[in-house]
Amino acid sequence: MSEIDELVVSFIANVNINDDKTNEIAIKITNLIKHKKCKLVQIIVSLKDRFISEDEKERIKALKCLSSVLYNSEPDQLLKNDVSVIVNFYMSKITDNAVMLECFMGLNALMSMKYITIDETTKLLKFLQKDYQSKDYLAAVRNYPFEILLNVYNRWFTQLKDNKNFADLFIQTYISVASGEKDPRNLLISFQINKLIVTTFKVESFQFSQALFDILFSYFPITFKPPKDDPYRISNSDLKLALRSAISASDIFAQDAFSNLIDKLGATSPAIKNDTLLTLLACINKFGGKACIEFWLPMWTALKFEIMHGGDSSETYLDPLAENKSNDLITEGTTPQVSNLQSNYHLSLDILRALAYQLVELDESAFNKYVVHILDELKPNFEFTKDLRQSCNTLAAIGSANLITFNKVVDLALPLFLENTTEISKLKLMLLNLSYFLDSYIKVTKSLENDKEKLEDFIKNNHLNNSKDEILMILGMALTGNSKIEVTVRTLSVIQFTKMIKMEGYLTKEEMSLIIQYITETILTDNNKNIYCACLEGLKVISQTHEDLVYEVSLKELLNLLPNRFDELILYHKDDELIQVEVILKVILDFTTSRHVLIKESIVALSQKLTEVYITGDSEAVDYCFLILSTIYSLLDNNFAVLDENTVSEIKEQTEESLFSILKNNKGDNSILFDNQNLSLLSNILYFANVNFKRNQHQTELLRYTKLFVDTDKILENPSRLVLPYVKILSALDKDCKFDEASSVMERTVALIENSNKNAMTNLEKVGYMEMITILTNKWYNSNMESALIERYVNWDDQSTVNLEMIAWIGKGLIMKNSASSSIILSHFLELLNDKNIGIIVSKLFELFVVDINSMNKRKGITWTNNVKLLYKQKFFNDVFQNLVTSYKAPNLSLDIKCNYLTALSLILKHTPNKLVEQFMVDLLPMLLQALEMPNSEVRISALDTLKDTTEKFGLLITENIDTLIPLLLKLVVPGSKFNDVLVRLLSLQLLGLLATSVPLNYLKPYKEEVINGLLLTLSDKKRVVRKQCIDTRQIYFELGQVPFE
Amino acid sequence: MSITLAKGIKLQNDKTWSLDYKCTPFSNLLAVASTDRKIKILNIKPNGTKLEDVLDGTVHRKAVRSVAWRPNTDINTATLAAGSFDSTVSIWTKEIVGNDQEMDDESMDEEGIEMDLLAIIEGHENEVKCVAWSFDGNLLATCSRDKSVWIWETDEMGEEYECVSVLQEHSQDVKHVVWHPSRSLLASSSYDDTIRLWKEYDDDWECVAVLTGHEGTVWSSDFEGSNTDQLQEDEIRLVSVSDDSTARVWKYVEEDEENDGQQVWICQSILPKVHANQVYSVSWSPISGRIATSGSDGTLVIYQESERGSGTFEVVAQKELCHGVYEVNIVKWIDVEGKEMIATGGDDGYVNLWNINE
Amino acid sequence: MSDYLNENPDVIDVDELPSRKEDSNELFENFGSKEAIERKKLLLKIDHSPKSQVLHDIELLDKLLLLNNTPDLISDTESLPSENDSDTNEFQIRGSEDSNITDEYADEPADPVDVQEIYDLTAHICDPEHPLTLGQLSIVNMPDIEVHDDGNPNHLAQIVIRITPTITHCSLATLIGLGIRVRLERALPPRFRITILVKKGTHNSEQQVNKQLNDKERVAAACENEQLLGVVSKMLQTCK
Repeated sequence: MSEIDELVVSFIANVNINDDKTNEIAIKITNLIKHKKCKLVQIIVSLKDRFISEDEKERIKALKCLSSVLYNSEPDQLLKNDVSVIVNFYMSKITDNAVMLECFMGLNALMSMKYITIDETTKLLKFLQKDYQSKDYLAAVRNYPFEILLNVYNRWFTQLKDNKNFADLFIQTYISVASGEKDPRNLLISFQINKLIVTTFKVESFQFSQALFDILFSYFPITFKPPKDDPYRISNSDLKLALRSAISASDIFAQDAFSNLIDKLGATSPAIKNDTLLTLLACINKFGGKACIEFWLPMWTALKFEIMHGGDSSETYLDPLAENKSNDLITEGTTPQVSNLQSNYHLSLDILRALAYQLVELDESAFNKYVVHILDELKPNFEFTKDLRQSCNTLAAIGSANLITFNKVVDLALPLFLENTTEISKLKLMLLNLSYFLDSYIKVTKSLENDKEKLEDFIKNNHLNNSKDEILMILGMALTGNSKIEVTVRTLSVIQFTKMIKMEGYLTKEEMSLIIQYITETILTDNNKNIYCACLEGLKVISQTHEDLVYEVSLKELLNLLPNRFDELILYHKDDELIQVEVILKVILDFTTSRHVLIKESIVALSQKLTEVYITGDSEAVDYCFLILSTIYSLLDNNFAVLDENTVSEIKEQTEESLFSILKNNKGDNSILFDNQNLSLLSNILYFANVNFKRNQHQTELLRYTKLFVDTDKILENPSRLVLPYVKILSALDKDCKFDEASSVMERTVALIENSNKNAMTNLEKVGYMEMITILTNKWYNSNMESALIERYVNWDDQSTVNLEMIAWIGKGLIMKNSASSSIILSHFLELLNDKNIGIIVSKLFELFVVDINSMNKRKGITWTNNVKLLYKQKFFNDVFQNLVTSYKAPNLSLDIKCNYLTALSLILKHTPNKLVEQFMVDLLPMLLQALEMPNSEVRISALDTLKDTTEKFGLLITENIDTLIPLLLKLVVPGSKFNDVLVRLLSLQLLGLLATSVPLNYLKPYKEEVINGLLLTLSDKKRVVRKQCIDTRQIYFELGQVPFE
Repeated sequence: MSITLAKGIKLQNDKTWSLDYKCTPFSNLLAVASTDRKIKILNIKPNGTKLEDVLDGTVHRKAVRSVAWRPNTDINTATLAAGSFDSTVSIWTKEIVGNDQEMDDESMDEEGIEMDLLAIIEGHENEVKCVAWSFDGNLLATCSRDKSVWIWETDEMGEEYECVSVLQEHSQDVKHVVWHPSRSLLASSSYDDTIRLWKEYDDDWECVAVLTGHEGTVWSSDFEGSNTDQLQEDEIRLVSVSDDSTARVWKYVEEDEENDGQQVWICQSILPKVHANQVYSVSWSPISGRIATSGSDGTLVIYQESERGSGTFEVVAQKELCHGVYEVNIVKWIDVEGKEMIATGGDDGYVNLWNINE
Repeated sequence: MSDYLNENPDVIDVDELPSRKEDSNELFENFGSKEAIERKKLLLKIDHSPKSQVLHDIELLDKLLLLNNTPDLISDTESLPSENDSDTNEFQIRGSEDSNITDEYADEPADPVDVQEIYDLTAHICDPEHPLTLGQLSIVNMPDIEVHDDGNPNHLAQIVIRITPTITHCSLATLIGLGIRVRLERALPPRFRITILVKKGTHNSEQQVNKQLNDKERVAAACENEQLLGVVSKMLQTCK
């Protein structure tokens, strides 16, 4: 038996059993032929008995074999007569339905062969057109005719273009094959071929355009849910897009497409409407102005409805404030369908815009007819101020096509409403309407982004320029000429101002400065929330493009306004408005966000101001300084990410001197040094100034500062408040710096603390020195020095609060770097919780381990400051949690000891991210519930705090315990009973309220009455906050399971 | 004279609207109507009060506004009428089996009283505000926000109710109806600020007098009555209380010559003003002849007439906030084994029993 | 919103409604040292964001400073708060509710119920036909609210509210009044007696409306009317 026969046999053996194998064999055979080791005929010979076998399975296998071979052959492999022989062979088999698939497979392969002839192709096409009944076959089979057509198209591309008959045959074949196709995969190809036809052999196929279109449109709109196990992963949108691009492929469809789509616009389903609009848009852009001429009118008529009734859009007016406006009037308008309508509303406008563009491109008079007609229809709306928003939106949309349309619309529409009026409601409308035309300007410029000279042309020649001065004037009047009560008008005018600045090339520098001035004045003198937001937004937007201008006109102004004395009233130069310092600082803080120059300048200027205030100021100044310090601090903290090394370094160089001068010379009553909060703020500012300071300078800085504080100021000889700035700087500096004095500093610090009662160390100083211990432990004691450290400084015999606290701080330093030796301290602390006398103190100290101190926190991109392991809290929590729980559950434990465990636990929880707590919740919850009964408001508070998070995160768990929780809470809300202090009452009420959101109604409903009555006493709580919360919570329960009447 | 709390009984969280008292050989029954739709039956004893029964709360779909015991039934049955905001009236009954004459309290207590629903009367368009039995127990009067008073005739058993008359002269809600303790004379009080008196003329009921004078809704009224027959034949008096915070005593003068069938009434006196706000309830004791009032200000006031019939009343005792800070909807004189007490019901859901100490 | 502004120009912007200025700070009264509280109040003037690091640091420093003070040893021997009988079993004898009042509470300064508080309770009720609040529509106004209260939990107190319907024939006046009454009866302790009146000369049938709004029986019945209650609770949804 020849090799070829063997291969054939094993192929047959594997058909439908091992497809990879068969494929592999097929390739082998093909290669044999390729290398002339055998002839194709031989295969046919070795298969011929099977070809004519009675058993159709045999026939199938045989054909499959042959087809696979062909499938793997190169197009030029088969010679002329091979091809014709085999084609004829297949054509003879093709009437055998059983083997249709295999036939098609083979023929498909043949169709792209080099030596295939037109006649043979035609033969096949004729068969497909006349004798082949697609509906009789499965999708897999039906797929081949499409493939074949595609191959034919590619193979005979040129012929198809010249030879009309051939082309017609091709098209007719397609039509008969494609009609009634349902399979998504096949449809994709069908659409593709359809598109090829109409785009490539246009003219000839005119007679068929109707049929071709019908094939497509019979599927419109496509609503198709892909089956889960679809091997081809065809999505609804794949089909939608394919269909859309086919329908909009050529303007020979224009007539049919437009008229049909316009009908479909009547659809009620927003989804369908959406599809229709998108398709329509595509068609307009593809078919061009000529096709649009006879259709724009019916389209407009159809769209008018959509536009006038669609989209109640509050957003378009007050977008900058969208979020804080939206909650003002929550009517409907938030449901998905509506948002869908929204987009349909805007789509409709886009279509009008597209029409305008196409028409004007075609010829201007056509466009004029279009725009004038629409305008005439809308004119009445302007007279009777009806649907004004939609009307202006429409015109503006038309204008936004290009320069010509824009000018046309501006010329026609602006006169209709642009007039300065003192009538507030009118003015309001006018501003709203104007905004659309400003948007339209922006749209045009955006569309010309890549066409510089067109853009220039537009900027130079748009007719809005003519009204610029008027608009500026009106807006200015609206803003400054009206009393503050006219919030909306003023807000709108600010918003329009902002828009105008966004308008590329519209305003001159001078005009912008003027606007910036307006806005700055407004934000300072008007304390209305909305206006404030609008102004802020304005300043931010302008800063993005004209930071320098904002700095010159606004920020400088603001900084200059700051007085030297707090009690000084700032008389604002314009109208005699009085402004408060706070307002200025707030503004600076709010609008400089993430703009290098502004931030830097603010910080520098503020630092200088600080010194001036400090020098000239009196006791009043302390608060003023506090405000300035807070501002600087916040600026640094909020913008940490954007402040690069250079900026920071500049800041440090320009501010440090003045800041230090403040620390050094202390005048009595306004001293910053002696004001706890101010000193801590200032110290933190120094931290920021150093963290991102030039890395290579840290070493020298470390030495310099140490000299300064330790040697000059002697902060280690006697308690000094200057320890605070020093320790903050230390934690900022690179931990890799060499710090020989570290251990001696440690030594002396500990000493200072140990006889703190003798050396009259103040609490603040103590905090400073304690932090010092943590920092040193953390940064300059590496793991092999740690045991020595503990050996040296951790003394358990001394149970004084101070000593315990110190140990805790050492512990903190170790825990932060996940040091093994931290466990020694931890386990001891856990034992101490059980101690009658000091247990309660220890329990409080547990908070230290996890409390976040800003200067010690891990910061993105900062690796050099402290040793802070990412998950140290997780580790810590896992270490202590079980222990705490088990000790707490220990039998016959006295209540106050239980209390200690609980306090420790809840203090830890307060600073532990919830996701770490989750897994422990089941054990935790019972404890928390008990905690609510502890005779200690602190514990109750922390338990309540934790429970609040729990309720939000683990509703189910809470639901299971609802029957114990609610009665407990109802006890805690009772005013005046022991340990229910204000916060306990308040939190309990809030928690009760939360339950309604996280516990399923059917579980909560049974408690409705009980809660409503249980809250009765609290209604007369002394504290208004509590009363208010009580009322709200009670209201929630009144509404439980009650449907508001619509 | 002083008023002291004998006992406060919390029956529910919602308002206590109305109560009525009836002595039977074996127990002194106090029926209580409230917003929670559950009528409560208490047994009042000098040595202790006991909740005998809570009637099915599903019979009425809204608050029960008014309850009244049927008088003059045979001693072994207790029949109760209850009017509700759900516009229906329910009739409840109970055979009190005296299996043994000298039955002691214990066994009585164990047995308790359980009442069964006997009938549901429908007819009013909306909320029924009050129900009242004629002295002979044959007639039941009911009134409603629908501005009408209906008079129903019933049989021995109290199972069948036939409407014998619908009185529609009031121009607004009728808040309260009460029968004369010994005549077939009916008084109805209304939101239209008037009181109307009704009498039967050849088996139809007619308005015989309209008492005007109150400057606000008249909430309730009560006839003077006496178990000792000091009252002369034609001596009829009525006390009424109103939104206008006053209580007035009205006196029958004579038949009206001009228009026959009509009666002439005068306002004999306005009781000394004590109440600050609305007065909701009044009760005229047949034993002591004293008048008790209560209302929105939570004060319980007792008036005494200097000399019977004189029309000059004085305040002999008052108790402020007798239901805490809550309003007091109902006041009633009760006779607990020869001792005269007062029962009150308030918005706090309590029923309070008061001792009157001479 | 602008649509509404177009329709009825005389709508007051929510932020313009009279409100209690120090509200935002009230919470602070509950923790921290005087100094810290003062500073926080000051800070609030320039920075509202709850994540303000300055705010955290103020609290942190305060915490650390207090930590040093020897902690106040609470009398742990104190037994749990004794049951107070506000529970609701069927049959029970009256006991004095407000018995175990602690000295701490007794000493706490009290915030009186004042006109502003009543205003805040009612001004945010939603008008039954506009999506605007009674405050915005000036149906309830500060000057038309009277509060007579000596703050003693055992004394009665009076509240009088005069409402100004938007139109003199406004059929919804009663509904609005009902809404206000329900709101206040739910929000105020039972010792308050509430009188709701239509402001003189603002409504054609002043008398009837007033009489209805203050007839407890009618109100009670109305509150058992599911549908009516539905409307009301819709009106109340904007309060919170």
